[in-house]
Amino acid sequence: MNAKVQLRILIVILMAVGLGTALIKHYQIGYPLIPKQQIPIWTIEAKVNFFATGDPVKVKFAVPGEQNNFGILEEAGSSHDYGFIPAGDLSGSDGFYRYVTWSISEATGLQELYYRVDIYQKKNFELLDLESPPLNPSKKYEEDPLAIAAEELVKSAQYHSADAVTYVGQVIQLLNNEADQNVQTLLSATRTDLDRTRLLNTLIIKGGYESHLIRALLLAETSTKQALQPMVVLIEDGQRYLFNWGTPQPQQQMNLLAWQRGGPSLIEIEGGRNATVEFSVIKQALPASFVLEQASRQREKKLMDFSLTSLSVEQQDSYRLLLTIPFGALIVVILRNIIGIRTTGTFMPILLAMAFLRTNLGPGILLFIIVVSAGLTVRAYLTKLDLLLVPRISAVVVVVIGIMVSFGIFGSKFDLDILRSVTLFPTIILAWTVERLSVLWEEDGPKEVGIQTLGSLTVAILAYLAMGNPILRYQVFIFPELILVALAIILALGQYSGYRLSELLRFAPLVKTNQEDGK
Amino acid sequence: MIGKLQWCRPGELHRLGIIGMNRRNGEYIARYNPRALYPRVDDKLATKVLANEFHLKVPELYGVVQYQHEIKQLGKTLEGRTSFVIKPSQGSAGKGILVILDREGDYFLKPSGEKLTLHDLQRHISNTLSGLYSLGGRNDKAMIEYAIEFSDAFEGFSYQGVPDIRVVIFQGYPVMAMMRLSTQASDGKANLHQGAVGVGIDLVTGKARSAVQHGRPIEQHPDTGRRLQELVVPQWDELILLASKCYEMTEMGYLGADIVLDEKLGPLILELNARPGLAIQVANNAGLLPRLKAVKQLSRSERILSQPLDRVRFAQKHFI
Ligand SMILES: Nc1ncnc2c1ncn2[C@@H]1O[C@H](COP(=O)(O)OP(=O)(O)O)[C@@H](O)[C@H]1O
Ligand SMILES: [Mg+2]
Repeated sequence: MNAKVQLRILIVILMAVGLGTALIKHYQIGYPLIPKQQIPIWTIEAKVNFFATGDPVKVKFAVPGEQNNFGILEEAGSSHDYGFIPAGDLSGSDGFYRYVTWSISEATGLQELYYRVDIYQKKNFELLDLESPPLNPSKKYEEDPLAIAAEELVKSAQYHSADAVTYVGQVIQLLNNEADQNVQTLLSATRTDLDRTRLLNTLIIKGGYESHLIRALLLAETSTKQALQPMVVLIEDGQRYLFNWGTPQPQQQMNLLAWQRGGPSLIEIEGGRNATVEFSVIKQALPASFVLEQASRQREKKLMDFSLTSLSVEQQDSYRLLLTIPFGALIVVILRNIIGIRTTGTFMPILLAMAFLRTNLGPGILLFIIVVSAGLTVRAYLTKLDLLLVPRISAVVVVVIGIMVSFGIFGSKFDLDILRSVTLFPTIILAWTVERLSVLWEEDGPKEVGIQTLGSLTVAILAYLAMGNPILRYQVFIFPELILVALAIILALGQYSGYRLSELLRFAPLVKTNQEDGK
Repeated sequence: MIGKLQWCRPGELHRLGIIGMNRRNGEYIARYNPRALYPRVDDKLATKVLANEFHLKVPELYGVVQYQHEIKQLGKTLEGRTSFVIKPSQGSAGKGILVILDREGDYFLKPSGEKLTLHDLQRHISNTLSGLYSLGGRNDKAMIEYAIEFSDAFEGFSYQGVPDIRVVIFQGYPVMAMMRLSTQASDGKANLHQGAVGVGIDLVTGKARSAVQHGRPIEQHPDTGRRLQELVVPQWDELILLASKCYEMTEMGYLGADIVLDEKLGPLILELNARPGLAIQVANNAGLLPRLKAVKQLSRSERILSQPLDRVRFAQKHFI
């Protein structure tokens, strides 16, 4: 009794911990439970061109950090011969000063440097809910005559406005009036759009509001030769509004990536001149699962984040397989103890399923049938030679491996994909299967071998379907704690003492004769 | 195909008190057979030694060969023995069992009349030691024991092989019995899933109750044609008492005893099994559960104070 109660408590705890952690991760971190949705991904390539003057070259290039609406999947800089220093932390306090550095001891002529970043869209469409960078208004508007012009413009705008947004709208409208004397004075000091946006930013700050500059990239479908757009972010009551030079209304925030936030220049070059930066954008949609895995590899580990996405890709691969094994085991338990299918060994079907995952199902089953029948034929012959059991089975294994290797060779010679899928792992598993079946043949005869081979194959196929299921693979990988749930179910099934489905068949004649007796 | 198969509802099985694999494993074997005691039944030599200590009748042990170098002395061990059986201590399903019934000069004669030399026997033992006949091929010991002279009460009931009687014993109470008759289909082996006939035996009289082959009821032996209803096991009370005593000896709560009838010596324990199968229910056309429950309902004192004979009486009174 006591043991039963303990077991039930254990099952409940395992269930609660497993499901609870998964749900917390779902709601807190935002991992979707089902990887059905696709997430848009943009691959942005920034091409930096400049003329090197023959001196040592050092290029500092501002790059985006993790943001509220976009996350970074992967970034890389390329340009042969140059030394490359990647940007630091994605999110740390220097988030708005992220930059990469290229350097080389000597270069002349046109230089091309590339920086590539893959970003994905987060659920959140709100821009820049981040700590603001320093406000830094331009110093030149502190001196006359610019200072006087600015002051008058600010006063006029303040008089005609009620709050931050209307104030900025007024400033922009006033600036649009190029006939105005003050405006002419102010604009005379600006050459580029960036200068003008700086002016706008300064006027907003002078008006007593909070704002800063960003360089934004519009993430359209796919485009080439894009440039960054300077913009002003106005902050009021925690709300953020985006303004363009020339447009008095706040701008749409969607699909705007803040490439750089705050004042410093986009690019600083020592040993070169005439730098230009061009952006090209490619948009794709990728499964959310993939994106999230990649994303959290980039991100710093969070306390609640027990998922395995922080491992290297190679490790991830093997863990992904490992993590599905408990569910294979669950299937084995169900098929053996509830359905009543007989299999060779408890775990052989799981290993077979793993082999099928490598070879794919069709070729796997074909290989299985060929190898097993060849192996058992060889076994039958070796038995006639009156060999001892262990050498006999070892000989079978050697022959099986010979068969598999010749498949591999044939496969690559004749370009048969099926046969080429034979690799070490399935070879070992199939050899071992033949060994088990040979022993079974010795001990229980051919009929039992037939029953158990079919049984093992059935269980292996079902386990394969479960273990290869992309949704399950995604779920156990993102929520590894789900194996506790599998464990709980297995423990619960361990208590099942009812009839197996196969027994309803086996004992049916008994029921029938008893009914006849009763009449 | 599935449509053609005969199914029954779980409720019907439950009503008949049929026990399934899961319940047997979980509620009986796991609970009443401690792991540590398994060697007592899984190793036939250990069983025999134990049975001798408890004065329970088994085929007499003539000798044991454990190491290859001992094989040379085989001739000496067999001196003066005209009939004997060589078998692996941890074999199963009759593998590696060599029965010698007579000698003719230097030759040993198998029941089929085939002649073997001492060298043949030595090679057989050598193979046995290296695990040729044992589960998973692990090293084993060879036992040389008394060859049972089978009672001719079973003439015509068995094809070639020797019939044995399986008694399931729960906490010392014999709960069900079945006789296994070999057939041509079972290749002379008394193995039900290979096609041997299972005959349910009445616990009171030792008479046949019902019989099955391949899980279906039959009336006559498929090879000899003898009516199975006529089967009676002689010395039944002695046999069932012997089975009941296996409980004290093994301390296993859920046990299957394989017992054979020797012409002169009467019932002998051939083998014990910690995981007796469920086919005995089909052979008896009855479920084990009500009987197991009846034993469970006995008070602890009732069970502990009862002697083997009391337990047999209890069974004969209640399990009919
Ligand atoms: N001492 C013996 N004398 C005669 N036949 C025997 C003897 N021991 C075993 N056999 C025969 O071998 C069969 C199997 O023996 P058993 O001891 O049950 O071994 P296994 O574990 O292989 O079933 C028996 O049913 C019987 O036919
Ligand atoms: Mg036996």
